[in-house]
Amino acid sequence: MTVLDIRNLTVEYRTPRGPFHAVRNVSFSLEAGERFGLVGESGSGKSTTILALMRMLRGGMITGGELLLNGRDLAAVPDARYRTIRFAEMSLVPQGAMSSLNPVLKIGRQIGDIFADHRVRHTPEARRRIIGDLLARVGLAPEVQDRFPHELSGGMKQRVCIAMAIALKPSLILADEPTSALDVMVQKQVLATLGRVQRELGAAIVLIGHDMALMAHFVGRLGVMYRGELVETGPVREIFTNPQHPYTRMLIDSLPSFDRLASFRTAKRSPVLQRGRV
Amino acid sequence: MYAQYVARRFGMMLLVVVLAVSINFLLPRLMPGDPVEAQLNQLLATGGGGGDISAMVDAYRARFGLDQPLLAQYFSYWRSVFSLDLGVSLAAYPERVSHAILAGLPWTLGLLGFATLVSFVLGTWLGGLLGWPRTPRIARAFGSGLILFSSVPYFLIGMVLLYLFAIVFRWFPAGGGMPFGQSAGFNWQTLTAIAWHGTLPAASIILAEIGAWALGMRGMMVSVLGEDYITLAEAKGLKPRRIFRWYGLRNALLPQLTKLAMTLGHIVSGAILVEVIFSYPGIGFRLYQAIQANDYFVIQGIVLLLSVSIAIAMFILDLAYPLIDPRITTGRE
Repeated sequence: MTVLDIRNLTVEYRTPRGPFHAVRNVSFSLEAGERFGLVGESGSGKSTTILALMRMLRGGMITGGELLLNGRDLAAVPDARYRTIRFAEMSLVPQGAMSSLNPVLKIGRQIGDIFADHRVRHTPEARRRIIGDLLARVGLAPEVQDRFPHELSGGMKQRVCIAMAIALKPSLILADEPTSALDVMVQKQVLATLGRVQRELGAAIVLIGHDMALMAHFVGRLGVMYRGELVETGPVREIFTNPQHPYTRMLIDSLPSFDRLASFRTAKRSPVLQRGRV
Repeated sequence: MYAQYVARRFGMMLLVVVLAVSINFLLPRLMPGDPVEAQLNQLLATGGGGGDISAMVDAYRARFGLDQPLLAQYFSYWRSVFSLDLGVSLAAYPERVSHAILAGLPWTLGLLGFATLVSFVLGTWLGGLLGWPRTPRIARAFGSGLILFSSVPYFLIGMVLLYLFAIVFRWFPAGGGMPFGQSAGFNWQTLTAIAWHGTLPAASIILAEIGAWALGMRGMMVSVLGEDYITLAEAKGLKPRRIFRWYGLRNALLPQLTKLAMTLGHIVSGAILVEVIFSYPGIGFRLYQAIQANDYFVIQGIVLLLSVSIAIAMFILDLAYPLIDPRITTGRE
């Protein structure tokens, strides 16, 4: 079953120097449970695509294309009702894990607010247990719900964000560089957690990033964005072995390989350095 | 953890009080000129007398203990501060300074406490709404109009109110805290009389202050709404009302509360000009009279009260802050 179908999406920002097309004619679709990666440099339109889906563009607007979520045309949903789709049908794992939690509310309260505003009613005890279970699923102690954000590490905060994203069992998770604020070891663990809960839930996921190596391990299909356009899509293996677009080739070439690692090491004994030593 | 924090803050407050008392003791004694001599000269001039006053000066010096060494004076000053004996008024001689302060304090605390709290609540709420993109345009225009008042000094607003509502329309009394001759008692009549007399002074302060609170709050609200946790709150599909109140307002409020504590610490000195315009029997009016009459001991007493109450207000704020902002106690490590 197709969860998400984006057809010819175009997003425009009005600027003093005329309209700027942040996203141009982007089309891709996701089947249930599929993992799709979106790579590209900063400003290539990855995040804008996600924000357009959430209808949270600041100052920008969708000027063309169709967005279908579980077969429903999102353009037909009025602004006032869009709120009820967010997190219930598609959730977001934010980029800035360090600053995405409200500093003055306890973790449990911030997760509980999601239930409260999506008309999910529990008794206080049941709510506590459910929030505790959610936290346990992302590898945190259930007691974390009584903590404030500043008492958690960056990795723990991002795990809390993942717990929030699966709270209402959405069919689509949008993860906007969910690990970019974390250090390398924590990145891997958090991404593994995200992958595990996504598989358990059976949700489709769009993972945004610019780390090709991390992507290659996580997603099945990859889309490469460049200057607002989706220049290439396909299975990861195909893209890596046979990149079509020059920008994709550049991205892949930017990865350190063992060959080039060797050349880094030999560079120490380069004539330039030796001359410098004299 | 909390006990250690409280102890540290309490020590800080004591330090501030000790410094304030010391400066309050030292400053008048460092000033050129002799208050006793000046006062006696003035007395003689108005009394039409003249001649040698050195004997009288010495007598008065001995009376106020000014002939002793500075250190001895300092310790006896501390003793009198502890026994709340702030000396006698020079201008209204037998009256004790502590009595003068106690007579004016309830009026000032009532007037300014009420006006400050009302303008804080209204201004903060208004500022929050002005910083919120979903606020209707009409409310926005109304709020911006109110902010205009903050650029007018409050004594000017007071004079306009006084002219309009006390002199032209005669709805409110032109001055005083109570009708002449009415004795204060805890009954309905007294309370309404106090409220009736306090309306214009309070209104002039509130009108002038609301804009300042609203401006500060609007700025904070705008910067808070740019935070990542607001974006995530919206992505979570929370109701706008909840985002406004618990994610926006609640965070933007923190600096406002610091400002409130400072302002409340200041209210004991009164709103001098408002109290003068409305002849309101508060501390501010008394301070004004004391400055005009070179009444050193009264000035010193009021300044001491002011610094101590600011120190206490800051201490109370420090105690309350961890409850409002959970990051404060543990955020240090």
